[in-house]
Amino acid sequence: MKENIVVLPSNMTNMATQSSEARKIKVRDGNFKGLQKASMDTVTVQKPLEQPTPVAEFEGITLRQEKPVTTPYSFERKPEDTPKQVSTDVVPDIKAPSNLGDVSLRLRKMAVTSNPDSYKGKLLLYTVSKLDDLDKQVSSLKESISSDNAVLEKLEAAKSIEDRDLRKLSGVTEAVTDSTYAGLEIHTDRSSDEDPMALANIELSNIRDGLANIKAILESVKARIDKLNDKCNEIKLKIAKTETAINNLLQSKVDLCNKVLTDKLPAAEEADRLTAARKQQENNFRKADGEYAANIEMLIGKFEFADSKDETNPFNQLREEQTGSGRAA
Amino acid sequence: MEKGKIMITMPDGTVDEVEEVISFQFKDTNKQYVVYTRNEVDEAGNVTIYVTEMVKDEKGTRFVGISSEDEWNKIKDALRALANQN
Repeated sequence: MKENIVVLPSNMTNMATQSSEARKIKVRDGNFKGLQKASMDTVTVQKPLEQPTPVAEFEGITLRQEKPVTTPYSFERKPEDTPKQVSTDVVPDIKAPSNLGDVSLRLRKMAVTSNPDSYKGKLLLYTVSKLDDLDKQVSSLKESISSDNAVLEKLEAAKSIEDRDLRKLSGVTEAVTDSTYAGLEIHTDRSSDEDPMALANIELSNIRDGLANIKAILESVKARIDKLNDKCNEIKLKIAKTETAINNLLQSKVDLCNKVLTDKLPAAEEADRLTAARKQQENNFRKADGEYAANIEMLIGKFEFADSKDETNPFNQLREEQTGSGRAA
Repeated sequence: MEKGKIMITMPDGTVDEVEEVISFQFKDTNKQYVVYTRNEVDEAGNVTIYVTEMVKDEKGTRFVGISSEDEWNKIKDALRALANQN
């Protein structure tokens, strides 16, 4: 991939404020002078893997690598390496309605004090049993979250160790790359009969081999980190879904309590009131019926006493009917 | 003001005079960078240079550092190319 850079005119700025620390790097004097002299308008920069990069100069000869030394891995994780975000369509936290506990408790108290044979009592007992059932489901899901969190913690710890290794290996890569210059400088200082260029090329070859080994290790570490990330994300997603399920159950509790309090309970109370009224009416009727029967008996008794032999007496006829029906019964 | 000199006000309020080495801009991001030096040379003859992103806005010219390693690696590639183009 080619990226263009444009050299800006010197003295573009003569005053500035340093708001964040500048990066520091040491360069060989030759490179420093090269930078000072750079004046062309546009320079095309290619990544070292695509174009051999000059790594040293020796007595006017520029040494180039057949396969350039490079720093293929950054310390920071690339965007594609960052953990996948948990889908935002799941609720991240458990949010129980603030008054749910109060309402639930109120219903439970009412259930204790209500007549279990009344409609209201039966409704409240049923409601409490449903609330208990929902509570059990919530507890079970919360236990599942605790267990998932424990696993997640272990995975995060493992990932942190792998990340640390990755940083260390990246540091080694940087160090090896930097040592390229240093190694070549040493060769230039040697006063031996050995061909410095040949030595430098051997040095570079060794460095390339070292970097290739490090690269293989780095890639295996990155692969392990990716797997851990996937696993972490999977568990995070599962936890988020469980939290959503818990929220739904809590919402069911709220809905149940609201429905009972605003709709079912008044209806049950009305049913109890009507039942009581009906019973009262039945009692009244039974009482009135008893009184009526007593009065009839009393009247019959009076006529029986007055004229018990007179068969034409309608009251005697009535008595006959009563006693006859009594016998028949 | 001498040519190639930059007066930098540091976060602690002190003012530091440095020497501009080169300024450049990436065409793809339009980000501008300044390379400067305090002419610090180590025993091996290596010169320390400082690289920072330069932002010009209503607050003036600000040096905001380098935000990521990817950006830093890209800058190092650019510096290698610039140093060896002549």
